[in-house]
Amino acid sequence: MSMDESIAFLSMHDVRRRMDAGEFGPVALTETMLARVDRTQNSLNSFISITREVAVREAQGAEAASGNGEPTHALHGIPIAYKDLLATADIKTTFASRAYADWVPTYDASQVRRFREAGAIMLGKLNLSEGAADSSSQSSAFGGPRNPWDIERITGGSSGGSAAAVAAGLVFGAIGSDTAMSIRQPAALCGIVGLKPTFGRVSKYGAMTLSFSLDHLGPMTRTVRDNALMLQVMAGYDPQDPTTVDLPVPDFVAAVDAASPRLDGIRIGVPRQPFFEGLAPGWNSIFEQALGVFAGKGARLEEFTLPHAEDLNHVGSLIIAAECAAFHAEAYRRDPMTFGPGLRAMIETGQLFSAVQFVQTQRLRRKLSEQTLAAMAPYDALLLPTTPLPACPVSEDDPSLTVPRLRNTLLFNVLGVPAISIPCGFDAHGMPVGLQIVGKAFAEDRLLALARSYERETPWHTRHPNI
Amino acid sequence: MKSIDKKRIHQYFGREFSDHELEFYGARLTRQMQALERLRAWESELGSIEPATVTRMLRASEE
Repeated sequence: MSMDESIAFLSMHDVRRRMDAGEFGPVALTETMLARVDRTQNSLNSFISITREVAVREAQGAEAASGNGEPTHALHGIPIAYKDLLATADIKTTFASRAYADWVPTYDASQVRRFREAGAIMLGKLNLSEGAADSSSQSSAFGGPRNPWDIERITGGSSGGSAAAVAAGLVFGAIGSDTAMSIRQPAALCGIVGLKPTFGRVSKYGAMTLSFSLDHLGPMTRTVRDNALMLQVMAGYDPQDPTTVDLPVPDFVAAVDAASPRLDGIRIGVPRQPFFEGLAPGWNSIFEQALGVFAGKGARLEEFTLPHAEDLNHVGSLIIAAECAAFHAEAYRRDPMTFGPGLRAMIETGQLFSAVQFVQTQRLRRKLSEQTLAAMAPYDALLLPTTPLPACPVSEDDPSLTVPRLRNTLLFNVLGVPAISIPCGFDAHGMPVGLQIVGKAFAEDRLLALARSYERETPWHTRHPNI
Repeated sequence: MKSIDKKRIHQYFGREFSDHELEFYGARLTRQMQALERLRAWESELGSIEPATVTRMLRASEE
């Protein structure tokens, strides 16, 4: 059945409303989205695996359940996809690496299981940086994904395929992972919403690791409300992941729906240095306009200095290298040359650290984090650019760009606090720009509400690439 | 890479690196050395801090 493809950019809520009204069913929707995936795969390369048979089978099951009048979840029948580091039973899970290219898990990652139980439809496994370890996704063993706003440019990384697929209207949402920037930076460069939740809010069981203590899984969507819908499925204690925290899970969707148009009484910290320095040409005015939206709604914006920003990033880089080397130790010993040069260099330099240096790094992480969290405490949120650098042409991508690209994000992985990137404009090249909002630990409901309050005043989330 | 850098790298990582290794690791090695320099600069202020999980730390900050 052929459908009007404008449906591809609807919100999840609108898709469900139209399905509930009988306009179309999960099977027709899935087939329409799969056709879009097929048509764009050569140019965007956003998928590593397209799981057509699974998708159709799941859609048929969802349609049958709907026909039986069974109560269904808000994501029932909605096509999504997973970054190809989440284990999927009987479906290869590659980490975008030749070292793991033949791995077919016998189990689902907790997040995959949760979305299957909610009735979401899996269209496939999304492209990423090899081992989630670069900032452009171009190191993928399957070739890098391309940005749907300009296919000559990078998507960002490491969740580049996820960001491209959501932005291009191939899926209604995706799960990404974020160790230093990897949900937020590609979300910013592809013009979508990407949330890194609080460390411990979302189970990582069954997700391949870049850094045990810095990895976070989170939702990538086109709107804040859809992001809340996905987080509602993802959040919560999981006995299979000892890093998850057994705290009550707020109603994120209700918080977004109740977001006030006014922000009176909200105190927002604006850490100018170094986060607003060295921005791409034309970006300064975009961010000033974004700050002006918050001020215009009554929020109190205060410039302040976030202590230890640079040292927190240093701590993060040491932890990533050492924990990355630990995760890949066995596969590396077996055959180091199955790893691409970027990931192999990270593993080998991670092996250089002594045990004493690693322990000292952990101790410093705690000391700096306590002081920095105390400095952030007076503020309801922080506002800053998601990344200082735009999506460059693929031909100009270089590993040396990784450090500036993660300058504004890695420290929040070290701190573990939640942070979201939302679209806040377009530059002179027509490429999207992302604003980062940082919230308080385990207060994603307030963070999402603040993001929605901005989103409802601006048109950026309504623009989509022509592909 | 200058010989002075090789000496400093040896100081931080405890061994010599071939020219091939230095080229392969590129700026990554220099960045990690800078990070270790910052780590050393903080060592005298770490006192008796024990390593802690970020989860425990965040729960404490919420209370």
